[in-house]
Amino acid sequence: MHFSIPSRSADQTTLPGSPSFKAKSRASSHRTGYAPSFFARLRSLILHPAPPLQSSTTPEKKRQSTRRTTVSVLVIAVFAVVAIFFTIMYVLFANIATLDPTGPRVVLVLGLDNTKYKDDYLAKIVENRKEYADAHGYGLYVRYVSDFKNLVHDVTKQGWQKLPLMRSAMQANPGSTYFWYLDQNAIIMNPNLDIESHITDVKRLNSLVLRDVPVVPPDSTIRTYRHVPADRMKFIIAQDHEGFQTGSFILKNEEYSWYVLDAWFDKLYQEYKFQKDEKGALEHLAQWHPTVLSKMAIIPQRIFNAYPNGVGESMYQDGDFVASLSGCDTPERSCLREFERLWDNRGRVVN
Amino acid sequence: MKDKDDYLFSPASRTSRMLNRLRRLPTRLRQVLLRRRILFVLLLVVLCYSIFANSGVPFFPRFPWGSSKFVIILAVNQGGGVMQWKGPKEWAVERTSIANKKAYADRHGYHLAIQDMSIKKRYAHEWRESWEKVDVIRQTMKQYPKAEWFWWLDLHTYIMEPSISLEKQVFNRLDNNTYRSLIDYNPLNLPVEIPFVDSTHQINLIVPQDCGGFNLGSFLIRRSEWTDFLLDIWWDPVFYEQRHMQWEHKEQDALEHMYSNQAWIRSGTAFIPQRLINSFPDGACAEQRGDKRIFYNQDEHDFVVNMAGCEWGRDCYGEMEHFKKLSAALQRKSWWRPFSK
Repeated sequence: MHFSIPSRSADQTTLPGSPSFKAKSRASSHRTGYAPSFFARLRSLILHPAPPLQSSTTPEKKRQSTRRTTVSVLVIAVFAVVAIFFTIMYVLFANIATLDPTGPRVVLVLGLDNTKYKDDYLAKIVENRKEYADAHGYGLYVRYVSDFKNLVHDVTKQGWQKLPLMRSAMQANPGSTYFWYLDQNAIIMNPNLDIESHITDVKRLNSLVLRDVPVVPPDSTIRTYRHVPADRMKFIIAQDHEGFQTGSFILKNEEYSWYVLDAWFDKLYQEYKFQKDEKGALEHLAQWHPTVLSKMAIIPQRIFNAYPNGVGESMYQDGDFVASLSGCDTPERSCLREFERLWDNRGRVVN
Repeated sequence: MKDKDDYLFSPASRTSRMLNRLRRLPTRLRQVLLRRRILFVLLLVVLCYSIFANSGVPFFPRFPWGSSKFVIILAVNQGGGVMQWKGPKEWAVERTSIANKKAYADRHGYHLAIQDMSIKKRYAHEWRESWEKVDVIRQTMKQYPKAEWFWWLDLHTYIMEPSISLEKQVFNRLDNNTYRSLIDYNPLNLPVEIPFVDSTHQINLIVPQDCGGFNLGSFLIRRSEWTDFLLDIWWDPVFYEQRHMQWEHKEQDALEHMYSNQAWIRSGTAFIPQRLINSFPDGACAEQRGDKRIFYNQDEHDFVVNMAGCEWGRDCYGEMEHFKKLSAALQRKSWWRPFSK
C-alpha cells in the first residue's frame, strides 16, 4: 500500500492506491470506462480522504469572474426593484384599476309630475322616500316626468313616462342591482321593512311568487310558469283585479330589463291604443313573448302595492309596506284628501 | 464475461440491462437530431401547419380540432315550388349554390345546415309568413348547441374566394371590420342617435347595409341571451297588424323598425361594409351604379356575391353560371393567394 497525492484533474473515478486499480486490464468490452466495485471505493475513500483541490484560477480568470458576479448582482437588483415597484403600485391602486362600478344595491326611482301637483305635496313625497332610502342605505333617483315628454308618443297618457325614467335610472347607476319604481301617488307606510328581506331575497321571493295564475285575470289562457326557480326572476310586479299594476315594480339592472323596457316602450305599442295603455302593452308582451314571461314574478298585491280603498286581498291594512293612491286623479276621488289621511298615519323609522 | 465488480450493483436480470439501454436512448436521439437538423425542422413545420392552420392551406394534411364554432345556414327551396314552377334552371341554380357552400364548409371545417324554406301556408296572417327566417335560425341554434356564430346565406349567393376563412374576413379584426354608427352611411335615414344605447355591448348581430336598407341575404348572428330576446320579439302580432302592409321585406323591415326604436337592439348590432360579405352584381341596386361600396369588384377579390332580387326581372341562372366561371378563373389565375395571406 502506498500513498500518492491525487493528480490535478478531479474527475478521476478511482484513487491510484485502491486495490481494484489492478483490474483495469480485465476484459470489459461493453464499457468504455472503468468502475471499481462499490466496497473497494468505499474502503479507499475512508482510508484516503481526498485532499482539498488546489485552486487553479489565474488572476485573469479572477477578474472575469468578479465582473460576471457584479453583472449578475446588478441584474438581480434591477429585477427586484421592478418587482417591488409593481407590487406597491398594485396594492395602492388595484381598486381604482378595476372597472366594476359600485353603488347602492337598491335604488328607488321616483318620477314627479309638477304640472298637476303642487310643490309642497311633491316635497312631502320626496321626504317620504328619502327617509326610507336613508334608513336602509338605498339610492334615490328622482326626475320630473316632463323630462321624458319628447320620447313619449302621446303626452296625455302619463303611464308611459315611467319606462324611459327607469331606463335612465339604470343607466345612471350601473353599479346597482335592484331598481324599485314606486308611483308618485303612493306612500311608504312602514319604512322599517327593507326590500331585500321583504321581497327580493331568493327564499322570500320563492314563497311569494304566484305560480300558475292567469296573466290577465280572471281567466286568460296564458298562465305564469310553475317551475321557474326564483333566482331567475328579474321582474317583480303585482296584479290587481283588472291586470298588472304598474305603479310599483322591481327590475334588476341586466340585459333582460333593458330589453323589456325598450320593447315595452316601442312606438307601435304606444300607437296601438291599448285599453289600459302601458298596462295593456305589458299584458300583451307577457302573453306573446315567453322570454318576457319566463323571468317575471307576480307577487301578492299587499306586499308592495296595497289599496287603502281596495277590496278583499288588495285592501291596505295597518303594517303593510306601501299604500298606493293609484287612480286618485279621477273626479270622484281626491288625491290630496286621501293623501292627508294616510300621511298622518304613516309609520316612522325605528332606530 | 462481465465481472460482478464492474458494476456498482451488478445486473442480475435482462430487465436491468434493457433499462441501461433505455437510459442511453436520449443521448442516441440527441445525436440523430443533431445530424438531421434540417429534416426535423421541416417535419415540425409540417406538423404545426397541419394542426394549427385552420384556414385551408391546400394539400396539407389537416387535423380538424373538433366541432366548429361556425355554422353556415343555407336557405334552399325558397317557396318550395308552390307559387312558381321549379324548372331545370332553378334546380341547376340550387345545385350550384349548395355545391359551392359544401366545398367551402369542408375546406374550413365549418358546419353547413341546409334549411328548407318552402311556404307553409297554415293560417294566413297568424303563422309567421315570411318570418320563417327567424324560426329557422332558432331551430338551427338548437341543432348545433356548441356553435357560436351562425352565417345566414340566401340561395342566390356564391362564395367567390373559397380560400378566405370567416376568421380572416371578419372575426380576426371584428372591431375594425364593423361599424356601429350610422353617421357615415345611412341609406335609410334612420335616426343617428337614440338615448340609452350602450356602445360597449358585445356584438351579437352583424348586418350589411345595401342601397335600400339592411340586407338579410348574408348576415351573421351569435348565440347569446340577447339573440334569444331578438328572435322572440322579432315577430309580434301588434307590429305585424299595424305594419305588414307596408313592410315589403317582412323581417328585414321589422328589424329596421326595431333598430330605430329600441336602444337594446342598437347596443348589440353592428354593421359591416357590404362588400365584405354581401357584394351585389351589377343588376341589383341599379340606381346606384358606380357606387364603390355596393358592387362586386373582381380586382379586389370580393368574398361573396349575393344576386339579390334576381328572380324579379333578371336571369338567376345566367348570373350564377357567370359567377361560377369567374370564380374558377380567379382561383386559377391567383393560385398563390392562399399561401400569401
